[in-house]
Amino acid sequence: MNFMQNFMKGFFKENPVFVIGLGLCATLAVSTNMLNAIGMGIAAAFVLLGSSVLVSAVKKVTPNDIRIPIFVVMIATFTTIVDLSMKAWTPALSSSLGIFIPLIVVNCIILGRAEAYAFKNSIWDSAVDAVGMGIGFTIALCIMSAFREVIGSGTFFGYPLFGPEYKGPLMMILPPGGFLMLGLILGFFNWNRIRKEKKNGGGK
Amino acid sequence: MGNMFKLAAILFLVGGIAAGALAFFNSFTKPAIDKLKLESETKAREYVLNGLVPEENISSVIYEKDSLEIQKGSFEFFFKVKENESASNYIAYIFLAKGSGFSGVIETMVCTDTQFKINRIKVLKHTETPGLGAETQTVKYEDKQKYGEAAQPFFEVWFKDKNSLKVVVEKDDSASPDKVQSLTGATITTRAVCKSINNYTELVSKKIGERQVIYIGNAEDVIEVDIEKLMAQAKQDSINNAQSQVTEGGK
Repeated sequence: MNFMQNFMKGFFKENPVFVIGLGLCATLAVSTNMLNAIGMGIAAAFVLLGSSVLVSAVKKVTPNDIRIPIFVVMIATFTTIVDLSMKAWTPALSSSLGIFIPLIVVNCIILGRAEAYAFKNSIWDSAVDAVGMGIGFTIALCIMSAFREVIGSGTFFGYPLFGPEYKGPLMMILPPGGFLMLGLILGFFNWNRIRKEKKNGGGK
Repeated sequence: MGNMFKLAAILFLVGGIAAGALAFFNSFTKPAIDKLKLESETKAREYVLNGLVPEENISSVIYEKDSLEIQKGSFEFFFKVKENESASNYIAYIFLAKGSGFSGVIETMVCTDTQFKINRIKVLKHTETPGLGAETQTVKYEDKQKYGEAAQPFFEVWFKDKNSLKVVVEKDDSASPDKVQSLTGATITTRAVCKSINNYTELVSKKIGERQVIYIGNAEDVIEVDIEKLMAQAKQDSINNAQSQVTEGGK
């Protein structure tokens, strides 16, 4: 797999949320507006990059029996760095994302990529994969948020689109709206995949 | 067995390195976080004082820190406010009321005058449902257009001039002059804010320990009541009652 393929695969083809189905809790929870989505996406991408590079760098000296606890400690360290940085320099975003920043520790995308990719590949490849997957996660959050914010609140990046009197379906910014939107987007991705397979003759 | 110790030692080492890295990073962020915390506390205090003290004098008021015993051994701060260094009387009390809402603790900063009439409140922290309980911090679009930066969340405006000892949700006591309407679909949140304000005001009033004055009736039609006197009277009445019952029972 060349550099571009490795980098781009996380965007749509192997999107961590819509195709692999990882990191769904965070996606459902923070995708209520675009600012949260971008903040969460960047934070998770940073943790993903840091932990993937570090996991790949120490893979030869990491005992196989305790690799998972070591990964978790590394991920927790990067997550705490992100948490402290956000508290110090972007306090509004930090209070808006709340508990979901510390919960990046248990985001399956990060542990999943560390275990499935970074532990078996070079530092460079792991870094490219992590950046691609981080961007893919951010894209997924942004797609979800765009629909939910526009329909539910009638705003985009907080800017009112339909005037101050707009009363959208509140459900869209509540958990049921998240599940509904995620289902529809997953359905679209699956439909698109099947369509492509049929076109290439793989669906016979 | 030897392998087990080796693995434990490696994990211990990794944990130690991680702790060291975090301590190092914390030394960079801590001053900024502390500064921000102090700034946001000062801002919140000035926000809730606004209106009670002329805006140009807000920065020169004196905050006297005092503590409240919330539970046995657990203390929190509140502030007694003087207009300036030379003033002998307090003009306001500021405290942070905490109560359980629908999905977590709601922290509300409250400023009252010395007779516990609410000047302003500010919901500082909550984890309530977006669109329902989270409306406590929502500023209406038309208010934003009208007042700009000075626009207040509509929920906070409802509490203006209510008695903080008695402020209650309209659904619980529709006859009370200190009622506030509940947020649509979030009565639990509104009730939690009211109850927390009541509870903390009570603690503040006990702490102040002076002759305590509360409102009865409308804000315009104030009747002052000396609580200590009332309490003593009530105590005496109950002793008298008990004595008379004993006497009757003995007959």
